Amino acid sequence: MTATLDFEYLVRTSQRMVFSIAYRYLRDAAAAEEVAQDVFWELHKRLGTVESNEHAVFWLRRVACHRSIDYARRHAAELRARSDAFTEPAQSDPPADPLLSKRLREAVATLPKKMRMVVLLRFQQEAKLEEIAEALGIPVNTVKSQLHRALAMLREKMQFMLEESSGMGGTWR
Amino acid sequence: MKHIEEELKRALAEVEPPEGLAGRVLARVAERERGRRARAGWLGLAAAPGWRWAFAAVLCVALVAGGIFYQRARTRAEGERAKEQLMLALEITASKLEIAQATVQGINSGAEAEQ
Repeated sequence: MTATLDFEYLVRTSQRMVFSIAYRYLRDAAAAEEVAQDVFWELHKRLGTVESNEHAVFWLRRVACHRSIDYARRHAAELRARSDAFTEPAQSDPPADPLLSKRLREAVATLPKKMRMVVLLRFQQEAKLEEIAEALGIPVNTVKSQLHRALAMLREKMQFMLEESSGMGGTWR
Repeated sequence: MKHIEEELKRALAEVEPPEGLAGRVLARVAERERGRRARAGWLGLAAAPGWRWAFAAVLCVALVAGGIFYQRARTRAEGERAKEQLMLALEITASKLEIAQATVQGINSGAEAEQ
């Protein structure tokens, strides 16, 4: 089973997921590419222990999360300085309201590190609570509470942000 | 009324990876793999049974040669130090002898004058 795993196929089919996790978390394309390089190199070294393509995808998602968190911790100042020159890459399904999406991403960026990853896995990867718990190595109840708190914080931040700017007010639920 | 969960899905949606990312990843992995194999090759060679004995023999010879060299260098340094000390002692003795000789000559010339 393990011998049939095609590394090139895995890179081509998972690059979007790995890059997107790192990119949305770090908000920097160069940093996201660096993380993606490391994640795939790690996979290449452990290819013999990966049982199937599904296992590889799960493994890649978990390692991409941890590597992104580590990268953010090690390069915090650098990333803060570079986020000024932030340009959004192409999305297959662009949002109807790009400004609102931008504001929301900015609000997400202010969340604590682990909480931000929980939000990312839930809303980008549409991962189940159990999957998030497994990927981040935390209990399911912690995922639930982090998600609950994150949404409350985001509602509050967005309410404040939108009230500040004219014409974008409204109630969030 | 805005649904934050729906908006979050849109705002955090996956993005297209940069052009050529897969190619760069594959090229870098190939490069790192070559480096890893080269390192593993050298380590493997050193770990092979035949090479292990040869390595041990070379290490023994190097240790013995090093020991002999160190011993000789130490003996030579001690000899040099002893030679320097001897020369100093001889210089001191010579100067003392000169003083004694001058004193004796002084006494002799005094005695001759009295006679």
